[in-house]
Amino acid sequence: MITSPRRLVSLQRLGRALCTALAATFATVGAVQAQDDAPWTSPHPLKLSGARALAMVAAADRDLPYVPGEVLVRFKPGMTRTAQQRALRAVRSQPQVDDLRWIHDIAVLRDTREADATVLAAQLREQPEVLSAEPNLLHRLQATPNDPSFAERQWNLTALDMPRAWDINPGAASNVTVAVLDTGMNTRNVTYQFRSWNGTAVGPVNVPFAINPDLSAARVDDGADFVFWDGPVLDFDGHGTHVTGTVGQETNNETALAGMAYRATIMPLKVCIGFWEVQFILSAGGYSGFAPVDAGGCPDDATIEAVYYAADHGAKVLNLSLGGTAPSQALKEALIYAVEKGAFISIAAGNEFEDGNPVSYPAADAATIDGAMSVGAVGRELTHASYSNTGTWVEIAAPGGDIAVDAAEGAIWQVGLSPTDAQPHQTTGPRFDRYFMVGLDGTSMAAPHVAGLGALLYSQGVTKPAAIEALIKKTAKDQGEDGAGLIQPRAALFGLGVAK
Amino acid sequence: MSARRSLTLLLVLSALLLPAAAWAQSQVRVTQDRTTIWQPGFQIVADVVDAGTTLTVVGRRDTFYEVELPRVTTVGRRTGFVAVARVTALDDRPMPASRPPAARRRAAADDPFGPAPARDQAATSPARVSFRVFGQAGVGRFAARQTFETVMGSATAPWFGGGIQIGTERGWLFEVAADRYQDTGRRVFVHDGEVFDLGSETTVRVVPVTFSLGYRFWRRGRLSAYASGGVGAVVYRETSPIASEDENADERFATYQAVVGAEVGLTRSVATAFEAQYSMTPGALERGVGGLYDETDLGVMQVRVKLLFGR
Repeated sequence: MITSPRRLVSLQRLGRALCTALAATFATVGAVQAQDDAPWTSPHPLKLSGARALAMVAAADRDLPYVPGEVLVRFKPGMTRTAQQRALRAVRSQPQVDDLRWIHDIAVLRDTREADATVLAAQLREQPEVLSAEPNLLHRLQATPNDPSFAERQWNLTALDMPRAWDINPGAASNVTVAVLDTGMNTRNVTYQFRSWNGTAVGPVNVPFAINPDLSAARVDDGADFVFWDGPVLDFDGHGTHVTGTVGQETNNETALAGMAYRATIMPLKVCIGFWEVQFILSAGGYSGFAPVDAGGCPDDATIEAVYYAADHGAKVLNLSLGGTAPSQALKEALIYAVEKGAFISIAAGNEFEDGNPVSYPAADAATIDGAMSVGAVGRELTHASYSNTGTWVEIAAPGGDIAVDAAEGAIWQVGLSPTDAQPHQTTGPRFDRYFMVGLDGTSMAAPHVAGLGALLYSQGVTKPAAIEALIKKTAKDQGEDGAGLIQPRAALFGLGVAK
Repeated sequence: MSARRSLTLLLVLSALLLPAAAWAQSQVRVTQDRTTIWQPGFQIVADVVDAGTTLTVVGRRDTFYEVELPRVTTVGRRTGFVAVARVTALDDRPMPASRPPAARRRAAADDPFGPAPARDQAATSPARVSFRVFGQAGVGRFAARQTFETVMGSATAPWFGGGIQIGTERGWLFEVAADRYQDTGRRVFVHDGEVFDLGSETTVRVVPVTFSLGYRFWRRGRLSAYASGGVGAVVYRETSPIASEDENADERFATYQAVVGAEVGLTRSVATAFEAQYSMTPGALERGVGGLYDETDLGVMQVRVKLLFGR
């Protein structure tokens, strides 16, 4: 346990780190050199390079909504490599076309000499060969952790009359795959050795991971990691595990808690990283000190790649419990692509109501896509949750809990990774192998209720995303002035007769 | 019963019943000048015609033919009685046989002026008010065609019902009737014209109870035509085996209907009628698939056969 302040990393120290030779090794995928000269070799090819980890630390420190130095570029149709290379000359570091990473027709460009991605994007947009260029946005997860006391009170599922909804459709079916784009979930029982800062030195740390005992491995697709490494999907945070639990935790198994679509197949897609991934990569690079506790996030390039992956690999429902205040055309087009491939999408509307109630993306994009829904939250009283963003772009509401109003009893409880096992300011030896009932609140918790309902409806025969959205809206209970109706799963699954 | 079977039944009934009215088209020619045509009761002269006048026979009582009056009289009566001995048949069609109850009605064929016995008077006078019960079967097509086709598989379905009818000598009709439709379909959702079957059964029962006021605007012997209109209430019930009571529909709606029909007397106490009915039940289907299609009228266009008993 440590009691040091949350943020021990300053930009000055980051600068020193960047000045070392380590910076060069960060940029390479694979093993990195640690401060004590003990080599650390990643068991799987890394996607989170040291440079990117540092960029995320910088983003956290400066509260940037994007990954510094990264842009997403789309060239106009028919542009040759030569033409693309000419456009890239506009960037100071003069990157090569071969250095670009491609996600469908989107090129991810990382510039080492210009950290301000808005400047980079503006430079590239001026080139005649470029169709669009935008910063690689860094979305944030939309949940607030709660005191991890034990409790077993899923008021949310009772309020939605889920037992009677399951009478009509018991938990969807295994041929309905729900992709959860989040921090991942543990798909292996395994222990990895990383390097981390223990407060005085960088050293090895064994980090155990275990599969959720209340979510059968047989129901979990291998998924994919788009942000950390090419290894198995693991959750270093707990957010993704909790969200996945709401979507499809085992039910009627006499164990713990229930999930909405408890027979659906889960496809965990890791698009977000948190403190520990950043910390491990920094420490492996030899950096001494702690990363900011809010380091990490969900880079747009990973989210976009995951959306295409989910759509191309048969997912019928996507859940995105993430968002930010800047729009991304590339992400919106990926969402449209997924809907056109037959996937219904549920997106958290954001938790900033009391911080100016901004429009949150990609949730606001969902309002313009038939088949994707932006999801606000209600608390235990089934009224607008104090934090949940509102606006005409919020299309539907579901239980997200409201701890500020109802304390722990107002949280959404699922079986999740023990928060105390991995709190950045409470431990230097995190573990992700112990599960407890965890209460969280946020629109992150509301969105998987809608995703789960989407899976149930798909299984019931409503196989078009736009129809799923229309049916959810048609049967929602009017919530009055906030505009977003509360989902009514039983009524949606019951469908319509001649007169009722 | 399917709609097709009901239609077949309707056609068969029609084929059986129509020949009964064929004799009504026979014609006779008056053979003597100043021949009297009597009103029913044989107390009042309906008309006086000369030899050579052609009359259409619509019935027979004892030694009299009931014929259509060649001229419209001031009292509005359309038929009268002429002695069989004062006319001759114009064609080979069968002439109506004398009805037994009238056998002792008159002593002399062309001498009706003598007082008739009291009981005969009663027998020959038409009832002032008739009271009849009826059963009916038909085929109806819902105005909410797309809605019923989507949920129930068809908008055309058999209807069965019955009721009571009161008629006056002057042709007014008052009718109370109840019909019934019931069928089972599947609950669905419709989006952009595509129907998604949600796999749950739904059973719809529609029972309109109607009150009608009508008038016989045309009558020839045993044939008559009429029209009526009225109001009523539709009892609508839609249930599903998986539904709780609050999820089922059990509602009442006001309905309005208009009917045209033709009736044929088969015997003195049995008649059959063919009717077409148009009904409107606005605002009944606002929440279900009817609401999605903007088909909120539960009205029906129906054709049916009616069997009436009573005098």
